[in-house]
Amino acid sequence: MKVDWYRIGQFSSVFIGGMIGGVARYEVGNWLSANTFAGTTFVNVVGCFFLTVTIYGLDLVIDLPEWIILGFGTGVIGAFTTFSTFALLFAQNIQQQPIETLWFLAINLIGGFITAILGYLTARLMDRGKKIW
Amino acid sequence: MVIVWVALGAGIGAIVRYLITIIGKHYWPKLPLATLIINVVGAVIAGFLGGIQISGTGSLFLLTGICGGFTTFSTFTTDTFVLLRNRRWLTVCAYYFGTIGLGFLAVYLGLWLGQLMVS
Repeated sequence: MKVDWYRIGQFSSVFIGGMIGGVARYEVGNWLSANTFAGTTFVNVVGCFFLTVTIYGLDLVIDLPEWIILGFGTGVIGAFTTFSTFALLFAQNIQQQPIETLWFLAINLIGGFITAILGYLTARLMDRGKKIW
Repeated sequence: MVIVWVALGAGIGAIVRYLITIIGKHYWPKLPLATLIINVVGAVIAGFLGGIQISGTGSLFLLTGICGGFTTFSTFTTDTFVLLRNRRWLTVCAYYFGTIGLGFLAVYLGLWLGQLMVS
């Protein structure tokens, strides 16, 4: 059987990137452990910024090699942010702390969207000379 | 040493997510259905692990590592942004509210299943 080095390279990038992103999320969680919601909120809101920067900027403007885009976007940022903990924290806290939990929901959803737009605009600034939208 | 478990889990989670994304692009090239499935499935598993009150190394590997690395909030948000930019209003509504609705339903289902197993 022929070894598909190209595919192996892609999967290695995602795996190593995923490890880095996961450990970074864990460390952010330790760092912000005083508040139940802070770690997840931080990684999600920051991660959204970097993903649109990666997709619209690093990929289209700087034209980095595919394995870097894949390793960083799908690997690092994909594993850095988390939907499962977001949903779990909501379900586990909505009854005891309804106000804080609803804030958590809103800040993740709205904040993540705002930073995604900021990331997109940042990518556009990197690509001067073309129209912004 | 605990960090090794988080790293290993997140790496595995990311690879499985990447595989499902490749399959999803093949079957639904214009819909981010793969991301929806990933997040909903990850939410069931996370709910289950929360329901059985997993802790210690198991929690770091399975919950922080695998579930965290597998599911993704950034792709969910970015997919929404891309669909909005392409003015696919109906798709974006279905995707956005579908992910949140099904994802939260999934986490409650998982919690219930986990608690059922423990009791």
